[in-house]
Amino acid sequence: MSSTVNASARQELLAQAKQVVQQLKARLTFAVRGRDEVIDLILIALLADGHVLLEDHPGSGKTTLAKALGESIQDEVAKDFIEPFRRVQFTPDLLPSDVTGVSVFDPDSQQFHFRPGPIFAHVLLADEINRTSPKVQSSLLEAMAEKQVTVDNHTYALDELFFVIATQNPRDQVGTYPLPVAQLDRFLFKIRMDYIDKAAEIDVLRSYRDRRATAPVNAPRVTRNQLVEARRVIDEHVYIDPRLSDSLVEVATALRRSPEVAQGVSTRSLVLLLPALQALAFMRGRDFVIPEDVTTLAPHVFSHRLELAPGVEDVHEVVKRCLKGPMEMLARSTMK
Amino acid sequence: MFSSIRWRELACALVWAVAAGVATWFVSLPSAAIIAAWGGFGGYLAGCLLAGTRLRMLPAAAMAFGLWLFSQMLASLVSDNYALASLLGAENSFILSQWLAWGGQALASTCLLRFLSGRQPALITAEILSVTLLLASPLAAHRQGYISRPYFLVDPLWSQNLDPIPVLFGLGALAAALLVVLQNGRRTRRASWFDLILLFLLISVLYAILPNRKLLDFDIRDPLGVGGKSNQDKEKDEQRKEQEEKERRERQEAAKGKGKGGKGGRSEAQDMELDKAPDQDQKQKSKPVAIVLLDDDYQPTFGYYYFRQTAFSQFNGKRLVEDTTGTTDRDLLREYPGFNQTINIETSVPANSPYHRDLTSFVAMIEGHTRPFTLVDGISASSAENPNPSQFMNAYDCKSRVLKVDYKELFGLKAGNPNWDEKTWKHYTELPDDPRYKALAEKCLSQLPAQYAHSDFAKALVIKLWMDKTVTYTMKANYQGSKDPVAEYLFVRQRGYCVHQAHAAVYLWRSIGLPARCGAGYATDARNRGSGSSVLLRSAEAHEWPEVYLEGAGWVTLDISPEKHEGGELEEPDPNLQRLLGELARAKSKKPPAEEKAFRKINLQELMRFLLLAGFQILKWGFLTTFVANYLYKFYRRFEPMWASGKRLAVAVLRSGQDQLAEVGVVRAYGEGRLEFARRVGMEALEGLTYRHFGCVLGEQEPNSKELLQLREQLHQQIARRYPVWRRLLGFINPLSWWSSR
Repeated sequence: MSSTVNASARQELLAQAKQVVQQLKARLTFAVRGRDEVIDLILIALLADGHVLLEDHPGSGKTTLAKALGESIQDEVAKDFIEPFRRVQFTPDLLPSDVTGVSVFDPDSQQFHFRPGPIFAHVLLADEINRTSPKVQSSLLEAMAEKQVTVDNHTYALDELFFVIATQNPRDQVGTYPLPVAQLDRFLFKIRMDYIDKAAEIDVLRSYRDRRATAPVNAPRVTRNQLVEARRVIDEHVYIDPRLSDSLVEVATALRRSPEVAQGVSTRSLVLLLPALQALAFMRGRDFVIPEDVTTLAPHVFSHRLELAPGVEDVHEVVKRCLKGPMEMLARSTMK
Repeated sequence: MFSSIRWRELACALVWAVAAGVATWFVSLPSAAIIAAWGGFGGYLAGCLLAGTRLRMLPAAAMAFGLWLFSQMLASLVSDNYALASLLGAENSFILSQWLAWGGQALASTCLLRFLSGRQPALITAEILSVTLLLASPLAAHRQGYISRPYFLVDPLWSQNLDPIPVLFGLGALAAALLVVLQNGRRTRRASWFDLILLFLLISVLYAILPNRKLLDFDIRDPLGVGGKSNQDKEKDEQRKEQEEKERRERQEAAKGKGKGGKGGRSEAQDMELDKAPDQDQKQKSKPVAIVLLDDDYQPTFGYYYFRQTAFSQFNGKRLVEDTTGTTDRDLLREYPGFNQTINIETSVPANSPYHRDLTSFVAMIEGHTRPFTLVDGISASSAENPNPSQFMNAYDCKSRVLKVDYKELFGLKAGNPNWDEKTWKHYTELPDDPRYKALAEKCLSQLPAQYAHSDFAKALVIKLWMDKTVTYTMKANYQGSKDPVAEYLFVRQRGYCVHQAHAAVYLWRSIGLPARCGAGYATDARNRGSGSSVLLRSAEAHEWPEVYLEGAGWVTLDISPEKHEGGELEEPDPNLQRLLGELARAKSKKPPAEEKAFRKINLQELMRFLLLAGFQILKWGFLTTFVANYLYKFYRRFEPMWASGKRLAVAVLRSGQDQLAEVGVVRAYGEGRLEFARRVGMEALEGLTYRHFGCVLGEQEPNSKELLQLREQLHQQIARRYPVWRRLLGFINPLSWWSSR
């Protein structure tokens, strides 16, 4: 009897979380047209407490997207210095303190006061992240992994909901500092955005004026606490079968063994993948993860972490091939 | 780069090294063989490494060919160039050129083959074939069945009187099997293990079409020197059936060359002469021809053991000869039983005869005989292991129905067989057109006591007794030039040997209507029986005797034993020799002593045949069992939803649905997700089933059995709607359909 009560309470919680995510999604799809897949992935990353790296061309709507996301989140805690949304345009002459903030001497009080940088936000858009020096890039590292910033030997905590959307231009590589693998490993997804299709593009142009006028007032915003709660609910109530998590290790082994791969994926990537799988299952209305979720997310999670052997071009194909064996084993194991 | 070489490659390379070495061993120097083995080893590994690079096929082939050409040219340069040859010395330059030629050849060819099969897995078959051929070709070098190579392998086998063919064959097969196993481990698909079954079939076919070559007989037999020489006996065993013609010629030679004996003609010579006495040489020692082991201490009624080899019943106008019609005298053992064969003889003695009992005996031939013989009357003969191939030509077991009663008990029996047709009666009662036979027979019958007047056997007996009293046994009678030797013997001289006696008795019996014939073979005195029931037959004991047919008792031997005897008394067999031969025959055939069992020789040819047969049996039964098991499992899977419950039901329902789809050829691809598959198929019921299945198996949902079964029913209907009846029916009867349903 208690299990049914638990089950119904669980369904209740999941339904509430679903409500929050749907509100968020409605706002984002309203702001950006023809990017439903990217929006889904970004929401998954947000719910799974990961960060995303967008690879796209200028003017493809990434700022709009990030801004819409930031504006959709309402901060109940008004007195702190954390903003819903910040954007940093990375340039070669940027300094780490431009991102993290700097201690400034206040002549009145004869003391140093910390002035927080743009990193103190719920959603941070790090535009053209590969254009800045490794020094600045690495300053993001600690923030992304530990959710804290250390300036002048003093550690400042970031908000729990800290979410980074970084972008880089895949074509224009002149004068860039490509991200090292260690840093790439901290992004949950690398999402490649191609041009949207024709119908969506027409829709973008036609609805441009309307959206500009109505966007902020049309749909309700979600609160930061709601989002944190949704994260907790998903983590607790979306079930991952041990067979599934075992199969992730099989996938990683297959990738590491493949002759097409020079360096395989890290254990951290597998750890990051688990909440992402839960989030995806949740987004698709399930309270359990199925093998298809792995097939869907694996290319986005693994593609930027793999170093391919010389001569191998298509990373997605490699991942797809290495998925086959473990997925087959998993599919068969469900029949036993 | 070298990490791609694992133990499997090393093992394969070793096989190649052996193959290259063996192939070179017989055409070049031993040192060149070693170099070639290294070449094979290195070539294989090089091929493995090259296959992993991006080198294309054509340049690789060109490179291998270039290497081969280079090594050959270098080899010929070293051996042919005057300056180099004189610098190194003739011998050294030759050795060097051999090293270069064979080493280069092995290296280049192995490397190329491995490279190609590394790129194209189908070519592994070519690799396997090459190794097998390389190993088998030098091993199989032979001339007309004389397998002489390699000496180190074949000579020991030969000295054991074993056929090397199966051994060599087995070696080749083993090498191929080893390579198949090694290569299969590499491939990803398990289906390739069927190659092994294919290989087995291939070997079987090859073995079946190989000529049935046995070893020719060599004079390594008879180390004891008791058998004497026998030239014409060679090959008789093997070629008897095919070479009827040749055999006849041989028999004639045999009659001339070997018909020596004390008592009568040679039983081997079936056209024994009536008018010519055999060459006589009383001093010649009678040779042992066979040793017979009787199963018990049977004592024959007439004091002699009769071993019938053939019978003469057809009157050809001059004398009695072997039946040529093929309809009579069916009770003879006409050929040796083949391997594992039992020949049943249409014996004339009824199975339930009260006058006979069954007796098993074992015959080991010392001297080659074209025909086997059995203790009268033979029922069956079956092959037996030759207990001592160096001493005996061959051996067989035979069962006989022997007379156990005194002849007095036969008085009540009628002559002949009422089932015979007129032709058979005529066949057994035909005699020369001479009234004197009948007159003489009737004269004898007049002495018959009145109480036996109607006994056919008594009639025959009284004629025999008259002859016993009247005729004289002598080997010196010579009827050369006589127009009718039998008549002259019986009515004029009354001196002669067994052939005359037998013919005369048969003619006399036939003249009063008793069916009779001459039996021929060996007869030996029961008193000569040695210890342990061994009966030694000697060439001098070849004999011919009259037989009369009695209803219910078949052919009864009623031999003439003349009271008057002139010389030629056969000496008793050497008891030591008899014992020795008896022990040799008994040694490993009948009841092998426990301690000797370990040293039993294995006939490899038989072993091979046995293994092949066993393999076929296993295949056959394996196939049948697999068939039935597949059906059973298939239906179990299909109908499992009827009794499954709980989470198992979710699995069973989905599986039975997928099986049904598999029957119409819709299957999930390798690595495809179940939901993905369901969407591809486009059946909502399947999608629903899959979703619920996942919910139960991977999630924490409880299965709703009603809903599941309803979906199953919907899926069934959807499949029925989409696919025609014949397609579904065809899938339903396919026992293997569930294999593809994953």
